[in-house]
Formats: sequence, C-alpha cells, structure tokens
Amino acid sequence: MKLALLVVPFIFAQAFAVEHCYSEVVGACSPVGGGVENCNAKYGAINEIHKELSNYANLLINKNWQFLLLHTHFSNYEANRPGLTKLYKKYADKLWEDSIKVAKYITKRGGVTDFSYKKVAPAETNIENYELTEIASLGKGLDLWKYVANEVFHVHAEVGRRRETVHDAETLSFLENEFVHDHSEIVRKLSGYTNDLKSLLSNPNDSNLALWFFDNYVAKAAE
Amino acid sequence: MNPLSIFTIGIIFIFAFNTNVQGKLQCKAPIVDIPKDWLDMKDPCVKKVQAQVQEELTAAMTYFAMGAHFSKDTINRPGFAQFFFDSATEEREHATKLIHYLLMRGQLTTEVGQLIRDPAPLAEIWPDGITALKNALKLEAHVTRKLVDIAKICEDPGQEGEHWNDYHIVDWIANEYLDEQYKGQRQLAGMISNLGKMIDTNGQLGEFLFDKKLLFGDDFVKDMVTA
Repeated sequence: MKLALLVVPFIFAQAFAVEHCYSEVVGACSPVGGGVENCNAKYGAINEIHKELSNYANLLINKNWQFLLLHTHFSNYEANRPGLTKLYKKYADKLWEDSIKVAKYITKRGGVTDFSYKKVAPAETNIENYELTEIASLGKGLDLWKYVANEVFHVHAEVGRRRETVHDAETLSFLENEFVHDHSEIVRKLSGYTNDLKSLLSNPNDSNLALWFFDNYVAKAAE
Repeated sequence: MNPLSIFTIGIIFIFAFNTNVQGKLQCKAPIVDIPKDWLDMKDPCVKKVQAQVQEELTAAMTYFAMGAHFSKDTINRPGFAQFFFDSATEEREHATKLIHYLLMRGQLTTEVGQLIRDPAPLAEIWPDGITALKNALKLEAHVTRKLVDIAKICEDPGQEGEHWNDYHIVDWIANEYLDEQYKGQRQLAGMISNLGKMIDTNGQLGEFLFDKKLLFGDDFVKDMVTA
C-alpha cells in the first residue's frame, strides 16, 4: 500500500507533464472555454538557449554585412580583385542564409528570435577600416570565421551538458549538421590562403604579379 | 672599444638585418595613377544612392523579422513566412545591386564602412497576416519614394552638382528599380484585397486558406501582377 501511495502520484505527475496541452484543449472545448498556452513546440532546453540562438542569428547577420563590405572594397576599381570580391560575396551570402536557418530553427522549437539581443563582441571582430590589403583581409576573414565557428561551439557546449534541463540533442544535431563542418572547411581554406599569400609576398620583386595570379586563382576556386 | 665588442655588435646587426629581411612582406600594391575624367557622378547623387543601401537593408531586416514572426509555432503561417523570408533576401539583393552600380561608376573607393550601419527591423511582431501585408505595402511605397528622390536629385543635383543631369542612373533607377517596385506594390495590393475579402466573413479560416495558397500555389503571387 505504501508503495502504491508513492507510485500513484508519480504516474499522475508524469501523465500531467505530457498532457498540459490536452488538458487545455479539453478545457477550451468545455462550456467555460480557456486558452491553450501550453500547446507549443517547446521541449528540451529551448527555453534555456533561445536567447543564445538569437544572439547567434544576430551575429551571423552582422558578419554578413562585414563580408559584404569587404567584397565592396575589393570590387572598387582601385583595389580591383575579382577573386577576393567573389570569395567575400560568397561568404556574405552564406552567412545571410545561415542566419535565416537559425531564425527558422528557433521557431521550429517554439522559441522567438529576438533581433535586439546581441552580446558584446570582442573588439577584434570589428572592422574600423575596410580599406585592407589583400593579405590583411584574408587574416581578418580568418579571424571572423574562427569567431563565428567558436560561437557555435559555445552554444553547442551549453546544450551538450549532461544535466537534463539544459541538454538538447536536437540543437546539438542542428548545429553539427548545418554549421560546424562548413566552418572547419572555411577556416582551413582561409588559413591556407593566408599562408600561401605570405609565401608569395616574401619576395618584393614578385609581389605585385603574385597578387594578380593569386586573385585569379581565388576567382576560379570560388566558383 | 675593443675588437671583440665591435665583432659582437656586427654579428647582432647582421642577425637583426637578416631576420628583418626574411620576415618582411611586400603587402601593399603600388598606387597607380588612373585618370579621373571618367568619374562624373555628382556628390549629392552619390550620397542619395548610398543612403538607399541602408533603406533597402532596413526593409530586408523588416521582412526577415516578418518571416521569423510567421514561422512561430503559435502563429504557424508557413506560407506568409516563406513569402517574407524570400522578400528579405530580395531586398538584400537590391542593396547589393545599388552597391554594384556605384562601383561600376567608380565610387566607393573610400569609407566603405559608412555604407551599412547595422540595419534593424522596424517591428518584430504583427497582429495578423493582413496587417503585415499592409505594413509591407507601406514600406514598399516608402522605398519607392526614396528611389524617385534619387532620380530627381541625380537628374538635377543643384548647384553643388553643377546641375549635371546623370542620364544613365536616372534611366537605370527607372528601369531596374521603379519597374519592379510598382509591380511589387501591385502584387501586395492584390494580396491585401483578396485576403481582406476572405477574412471579412471568414476571419481565421480565410487567413489559414490564404496561407496554404501562398505555400503551395506556385503562381499564386506571380498571378497577382497583371501588368
């Protein structure tokens, strides 16, 4: 009997936990009526991390503008580097599309995208002056993408904890499938480009021609 | 100074010099003297086009927020969401096209960072679909007025611009932008008209059906434009 006294409330609590929406719907259909606030897509740790995800969507939007401006700089007739122009436009477009993916994901899990929630980013992720040399822009691009990649790791770490209230397997999977693999490819590519250009610019007699050849290569590779 | 000290200083100097040469890169390309005669856009006109980039991006962010709003599980209007997300990307492309035009005319060689100043959505929630569509139409009308302003200023930039008529951009704005703006506005007005009639007597059901038509009816929105 004692065991039954312990078990019955437990079963009742479990049933209640999964039937919030059902109870509200039944209530709404009764003569008294009522709301269905608990009929939502929230489960797992979404309440814990939807702010983090909003911050990430805003971060991606911000980096998309930065790469769009880098693309603009290398597209002016004085800088005139079609390869870097194409590369940075490609990155800007990817960041924009990814920000839409994050916003859609937040709502898929019953959350709300807060466009004004932006954590203060480190100063080195800002660009005061876009009139950068080719190699400086690659260095800056690499830093920006590493920041974007590390911020995913941060959200991943938040939802990867073992405590059930903050663990969220679906968000882990979303971040891994949609972002982390792409990020490692991009970071590797930009690191390679920066080191290539560093070698090519080491001989002052070659540098101007080297920049031209290198940009031509980037244009082909960015297709 | 004894000979050993002189030798030591010499070695240090050679070492430092060599390190310097090895690590130093020639990063900056030389400045080329390019004739400026072809740069004929006038300042007031350039400033107007630059300001329009931010206008288009504010519209893009507003549509982005509309897309996010109608994606919510408790709102659940995937057709509206898809329509607004697509509109957001389209507005961003409009801004990019303006940037490309300025670059083609030899502009944007300095202070590029001023062009985009963290555009934010004008709102983040809407009471229903028809309000969002009405807001979108008002936003488009605002953007259109700004585009007409560009055409006016570029046609006659006043004394500061030596009253120089920039035929090319005026024609380009009219053909590339105004044409799309007026067709887009007609499309939105048509959508508001249909949805307005549907919800007049069938409120929620009307919006639900309209949303599914937006989601699955391939040419539904396109057909709104008869021009």
